Amino acid sequence: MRLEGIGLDLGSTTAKVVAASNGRIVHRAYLRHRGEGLQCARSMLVEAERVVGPGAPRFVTGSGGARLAETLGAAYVHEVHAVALAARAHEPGVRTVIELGGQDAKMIHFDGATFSSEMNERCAAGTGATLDRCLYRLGIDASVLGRLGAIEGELPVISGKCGVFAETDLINLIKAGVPEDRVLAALLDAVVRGNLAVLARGRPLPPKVLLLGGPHAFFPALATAWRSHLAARWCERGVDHGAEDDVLVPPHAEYFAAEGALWSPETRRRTHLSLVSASAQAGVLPGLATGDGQLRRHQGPPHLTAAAASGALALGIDAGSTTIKAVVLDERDVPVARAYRRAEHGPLEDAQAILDELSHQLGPDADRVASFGVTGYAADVLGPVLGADAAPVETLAHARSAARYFPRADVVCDVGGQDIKVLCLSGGDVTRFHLSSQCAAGNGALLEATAHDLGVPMDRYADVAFSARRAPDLAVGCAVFLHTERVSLQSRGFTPAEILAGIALVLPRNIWENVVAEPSLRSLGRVFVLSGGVQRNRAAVRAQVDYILGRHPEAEVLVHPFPGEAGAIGAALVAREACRGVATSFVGFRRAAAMRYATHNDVSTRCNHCPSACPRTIVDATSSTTHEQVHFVTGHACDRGEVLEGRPPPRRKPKAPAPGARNLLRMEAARLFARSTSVRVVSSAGHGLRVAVPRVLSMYRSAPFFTHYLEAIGVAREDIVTGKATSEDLWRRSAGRGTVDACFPVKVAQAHVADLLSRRAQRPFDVLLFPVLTHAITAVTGCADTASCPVVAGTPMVTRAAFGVGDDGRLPGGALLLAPTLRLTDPPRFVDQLFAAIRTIAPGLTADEHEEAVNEARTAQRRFEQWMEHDGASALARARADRRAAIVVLARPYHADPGIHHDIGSELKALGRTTLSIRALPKDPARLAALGCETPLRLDGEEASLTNSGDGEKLFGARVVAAHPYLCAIELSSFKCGQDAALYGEVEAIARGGGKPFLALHDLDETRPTGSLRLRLRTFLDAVDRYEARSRAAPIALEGFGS
Amino acid sequence: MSAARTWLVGGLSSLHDPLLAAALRGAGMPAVAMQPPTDVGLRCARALGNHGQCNPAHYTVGAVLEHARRSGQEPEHFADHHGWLTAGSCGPCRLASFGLEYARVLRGAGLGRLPVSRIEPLAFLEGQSALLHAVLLGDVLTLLGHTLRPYAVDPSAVDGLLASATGELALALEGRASLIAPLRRIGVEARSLPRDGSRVLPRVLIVGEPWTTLADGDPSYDLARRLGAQGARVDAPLACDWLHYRIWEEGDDVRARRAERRIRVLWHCLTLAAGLGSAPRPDMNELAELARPHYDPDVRGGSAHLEIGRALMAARDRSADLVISLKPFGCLPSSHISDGILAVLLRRTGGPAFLALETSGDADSTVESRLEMALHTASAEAARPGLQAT
Repeated sequence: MRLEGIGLDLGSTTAKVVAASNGRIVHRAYLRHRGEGLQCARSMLVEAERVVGPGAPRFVTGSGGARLAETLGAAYVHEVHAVALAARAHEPGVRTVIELGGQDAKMIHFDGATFSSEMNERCAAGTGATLDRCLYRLGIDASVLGRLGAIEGELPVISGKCGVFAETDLINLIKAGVPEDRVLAALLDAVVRGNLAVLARGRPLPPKVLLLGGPHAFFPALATAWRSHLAARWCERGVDHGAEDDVLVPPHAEYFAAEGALWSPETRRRTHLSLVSASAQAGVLPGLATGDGQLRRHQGPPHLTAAAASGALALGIDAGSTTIKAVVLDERDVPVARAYRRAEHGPLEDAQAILDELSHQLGPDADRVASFGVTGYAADVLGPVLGADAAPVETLAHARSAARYFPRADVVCDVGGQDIKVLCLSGGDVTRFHLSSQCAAGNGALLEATAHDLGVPMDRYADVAFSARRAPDLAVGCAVFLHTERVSLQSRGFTPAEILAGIALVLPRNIWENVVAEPSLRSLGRVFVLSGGVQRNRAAVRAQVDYILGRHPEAEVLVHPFPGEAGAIGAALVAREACRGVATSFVGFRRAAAMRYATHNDVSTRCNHCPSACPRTIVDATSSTTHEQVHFVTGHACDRGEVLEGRPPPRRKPKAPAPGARNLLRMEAARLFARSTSVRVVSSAGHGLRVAVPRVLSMYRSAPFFTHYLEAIGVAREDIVTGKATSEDLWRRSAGRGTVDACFPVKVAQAHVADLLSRRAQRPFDVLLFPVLTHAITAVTGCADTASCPVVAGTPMVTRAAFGVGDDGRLPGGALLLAPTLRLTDPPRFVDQLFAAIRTIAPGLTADEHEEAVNEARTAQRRFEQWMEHDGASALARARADRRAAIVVLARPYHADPGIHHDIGSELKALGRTTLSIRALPKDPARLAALGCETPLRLDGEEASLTNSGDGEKLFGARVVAAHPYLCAIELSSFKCGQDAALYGEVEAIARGGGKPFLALHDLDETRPTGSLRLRLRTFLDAVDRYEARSRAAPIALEGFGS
Repeated sequence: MSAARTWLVGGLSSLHDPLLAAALRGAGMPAVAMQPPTDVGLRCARALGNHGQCNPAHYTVGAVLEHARRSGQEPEHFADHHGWLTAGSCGPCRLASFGLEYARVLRGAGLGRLPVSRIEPLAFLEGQSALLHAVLLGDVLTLLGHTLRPYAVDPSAVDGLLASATGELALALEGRASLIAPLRRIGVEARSLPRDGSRVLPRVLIVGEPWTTLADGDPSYDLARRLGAQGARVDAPLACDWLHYRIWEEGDDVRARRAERRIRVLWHCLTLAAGLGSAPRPDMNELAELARPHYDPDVRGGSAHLEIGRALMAARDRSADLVISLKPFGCLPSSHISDGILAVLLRRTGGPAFLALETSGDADSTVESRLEMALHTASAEAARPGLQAT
C-alpha cells in the first residue's frame, strides 16, 4: 500500500499531523491545542495542505477525531486501529504496543494476524495528563523530566492508580525533603505500575514491545521504568527475552496514530456513536454572577495596615502543598510584612527564599522577631531546622487566625492547594471538623490545573470565568473525572471561559456535599469565614457565596482579610502564646539564609525498627556561621524512627511514650497468625504436608481456625506458612498479577500469592489454602444476612484466573490451589464442605478426625476472640479510669494489617493513645453494661436489611463508641470500598453521638500519605483533647468504675 | 398499601414502569409511572446521599426527587400524598443498603415521610398476576426492540412502535382486558416495518449488573437501544431472567418451582402472540454449571456467576462477537470479580471480544472510544466467512 494524504490525530491535549506524498512522509507537526482542538486541527490541516497540495485525502483519528471527521467530511479511523497498523508497518515482529496519550492509555496485543486491545476507562491515571499535572504541581518544566537519567536504588512509592493520589504523594515526598530526581523517577515508576494494574489484566505482555505516544517520545526515563518492570514480569512468567530491542521507543513515536490513519483502508465517513445523554446535554447552568460590588459586601473587615511595626514581632510560616506563605505580626496582631510564593523547590530552599523576602520588607525590624511558628505540610522539616517555638497543625492555625479577626465565626472553610478543611467553632475552639480525604477532588489545585490546561493565567481566572454567560453542570466528585469530562465538554462546544466557570461552580458543591456531606448548612452556624489561597480567586469566592446564601439565606459569608496567609497568621499567634516569658528558638533571618543542608531518602534511610519500614528522609543541616551540624528525620510514623544507627540522637528529643498507651491493632494482627494456642493433634493425615495460607482478607477473621485446624490434622506447625504482613516492598515486588483494579486489600492479595510462590523456590509447599468464605461469623445479630463482601469472597476465584490455574487445580510451579467455597455460618454444611476439600490433600483423614479437628480449631478461634475482647475490655476500663479516651478503629477485619491501615496505631500510640478494633470490643451484653457502654448487639429498622457482616459490625462499633464517655472513633475505609461507602453517613452520625470528635480516613490506598495523615490525626487528637477537657468538667454517670 | 395515596412506580425501564402502574390501577391502586431516571436526578440524589454509594440507588431515588420537583408541590405535602413503589434489592453488596440510602436522601430532600414500598420478587410472584403480566409484557416489548432495531430501515420507527404498544398494553392491563389480542396486533405491526435483512451484523451480548442492564436511558447509556440503532444484534438480560435467578436461589422450594413454571408458561404465550416465537430464556442451572469451575455460584453478591455463565454460553455456542459487561461505576461483584475472571477466560478460550463498561452518570468520551473500537472488532469478526451463527 502506498502512503498518500494527510493523517490527523486529535487527542485530548495535543494534535498531531502527518502528511505523505508518493509513499513518503514529507511533513510532521505536533501542537498542544489548549482546549481549542478544532481550530488547531484546521490550521494544521491548512499547513499540511501547503506541503502536499489541496485535495489530498484526509484521515482523522484520536479521541477528538470522530467529531472532527464529521465536521471535515474526512474518513475516521479509530485510534487503536491506526496505532496497530502503523506499529505493524514499522515493526512486523511487534507483539505488544503500549501507547500513552494525553488522557488515553492503550495496550494492543498482537496474536498472528489479529490483535486485541485494552483502553483505560475514564480514569486518566497513568497517562500524559497525570504527568502534566504532577509536573505543574511541582513547578517543574517538562524538559527536566525529559533529561532524567537512571536513578539507582529503591524508589519511594507513589500511587499509580489515581492521578490525584499521585499528586498527594508527590507533595508529601517533596515536603519531606526527598530529592526531586527521585520523586520524578518514582512518578514514572507509578505510571508504569498503574498501567500494568489497569490495562494488562494479567497478560505477560511479551516482547517485542513498542512504546508509543508523546510521554514515551519525550521522557526516555519512562522507557527505562517499563524495561525494568517488563523484564521482571517476563522472568517471573518464563517469557523468553533478553534481546536488546525487546522494548523499543521508535523514532517519531508520538506520530504513530496519525501515520496509522494513513495506512487504513477506511475511506468512508462514519457515524459517531455518541453516548452523551439528553439530560447531560441539558445540564447547562447560568454562568457565575458577576459584579465585584456585590461580592464586596461579603468581604471581611478592610485590610489592616500597620503604621509602623511596634513591640516584639511574631513570625509565622505556612508551608503548604503548593505554596509557602509567611507573615510577621506586630504586637497588635497586625501584619507588618507578608509574602506568598509558589513552592518551587524543596521546603528548606523555599523557606529560605520567603524569609529573605520578609527580611527585606522588615529591614532593621527583622531583629525584633521574638517568636516563630510554623505550620503546613513541611512543618516537620522546617520546625526543627529553623527553630520554631510552635508547630500547630494547620487546622488549628486556621481556626486561631479566623477567630482573631472574626470572633463570631461559626464555620471556617479553608480551601488550599491540596486540602479542604471545614472547621466548626465555638468560642474560638474547634468543635467539629471535616477534612477532604486523600482524594482531594475540587481543591485549589483543580482550578489551577484546569486554567493551566486551558492556557489561562491564574490571575485572569476570575475575569475569564465571569465573561461566560453559561457553564456546564459538572459532576461532583473525582477531579480526574472532571478533567476527563472537560475534554468531552470542549468537544460539545463549551468554551474555556464556560469551563472555568463550571469548575468554579463545582467547588462549593464538592466542599459542602462531598467533604461536609451535611444537607442543612443552617445546622453548622450562621457566620461563615472563607480562607485559604483559593479565596484569592474571585470566581471561587463568588461561587461559594452564591452556594451558601442559596441554601442558607440568613448566613453571613465573610472572606478572611488575608486568605492566603491565614494559616501563617495562626502559626504566628500560637507561637506568640508559646513564647510568653520564654526566649525564642528561632535561628534568625541571617542564620537561616546561611544554612546549608542535604537530604537523603533511599533504601539506607528506611526505618528498620519495625515491619512497617517507614521510608524516612534524613536532613543534614549545617549552619555556615556556627558550622554546627545537626540532623533531622521525617517520614516516620512513630518516635522509634528518630533513632539512627551510628548517629547521635537527633536535635528534636523523642517524646516519652505515654504510659499505658497500647496498640491493640498491631497486637491483633500478630496474634491472628501466631498459633500460640496449643492444639490436640487428632490425626496424622496431614503429616508431611506443607501448606501456605496467604495473610489476607478473610484470613484476618478466620486465620486461627484454619491454621489450628491444619495443625490438628497433623500438619507440622513449621509447615504452615502464613506469609508476611503487607508491606510496600511486598507490593512493589509482587504486584502485577491482578486482572481487576479493585481496592488495595483485594489487589494486594494477588501480590501475597505471588510472594508465597516466589518463596516456594527455597522451601516448596504443596498446597495454597485460600478458601472462599461466603459468610462470616459475627456477634452482631438482626441483619438479613452475614455475608462476606462479594469481592473479598470472590478473590480466590480471581486468583485462579490470574495465575492460570489449570484443570488440575495447580498453580505455576505445581502447588495445588485449594479454594473451597465454605459457609461458616451453616455448621453442618461447613463441616462437610471442608472435609470434602481437605480429603483431596489428606486422603487418610477420617470424618471423625475431621470433626475433632474442627472442634479444636473452633476452640482456638474462640480463645483468640476472648483474648482480644479481654484486652479490649481492659483498655475500655483503663480509658475510663484515666479519663483518657481510647480510639476505636471502625474498620474491616483486614484493616488490622499494618500495611493496609498504614500503621496509624503506632502513630497514635506514640501520641499517647490506645487503639483497638471492633474485634477487641466486648460482645457480651453484661460485660458491655458493666463497662458503662450498654449497646444492643441486635440491629433493627432499616439496618436490619443489611446483609454484609462488616456493615453490622461497624454500626455496632459506632454505637459502643457513642455509649462510652472515653471512646472516640476513627473510621477507616479503603479506596473503592463500595461496602463502606454506602454507610459513611450512618457510621459518622452514630459515632459523633454526644458531640464526640470523629475522624474519617477514607480512600486508603497502597501508599502512606504521611503528611496528610499526620494533619488529620493531629487535628483529630487535638479535638479529642478538648473533648476530654469538656468531659472531665462534666460529672460521669459511673464514676470510679474500672479503676 | 393505602389507596389514599398515589403510588409512584419506577425502577425497571421505560417500557416496564407504565405497564406496572397500569396493572396497579387495574387493581384499584392509584399509581403513576415516573419518568425514567436521569443524570440530573442522579446528581440531586448524590448531593444528599453517601457519595460512594453505587449509582442505581441514586438514579432510582433521584427519579423520585425529580418527580416531586416537577409536581410543584411542597415536599411535605408531596410526601403525604404519594408513596414510592420500587423493586427490591438483590444481594449482599451495596444494594442491601439501599433502604438506608433512600431514607437518607428522601430525608435530606424534605420527603422523609414518603412511604417506600420495596417489592421482593418472590412475594411479587405470589401476588397479583397482573403485576407479573406487566413485567413480562415489558420484557416482550424490550425483546421486540432488540429484534427489530438492527434491521430496521428507520430505527426511530421502532421506538414509535414500542411507545404506542406500551400505551395499548397499559390500557388492556388497566381495563383487565385480554392481552393476547393487542399483542398479536403489535406483532403484525412490527412485521410490517420496513427492514433490510441483507446486512451482516455484529452480535453483541450484554451482561452485567442486573438493574443497569435492564434500565434504559441515562443509567445504561441507553446502550442496548443505541447499539441496535447502530446495527448490532443485541442480546441483553430481561426482568424475567432476574425473576428466574431469584427463584433459582431458593433451590428446591416448592413455591419457587411453582412460580417458575408459571413464568415459563406465561412467557411462552406472550412471545408467541407477539410473533417472537418461543424465545427461550437461559436456563439458570445451566448457567450456574457453566460458571462453577471459574466462579462458584454459591458465592452471593448479585449475580456475578450469571455474567460468567452467560458469556461462556455465548462462547460455546459462538452466538456473540462481542460481550459487553455493563455495570455501575465500581460495582463490587461485577467490576472487581467477574470482569477479572471473564477477561482472562474469554481470552484463553478464544471467545468473543470482551469489553467492560462502567456507567458513571456523566458523558464520557473514553467510553465512546472504547465502545467504537469494540464494535469495530466485532463487525470485522461478524464479517469473517463461516463464523456467523445461524
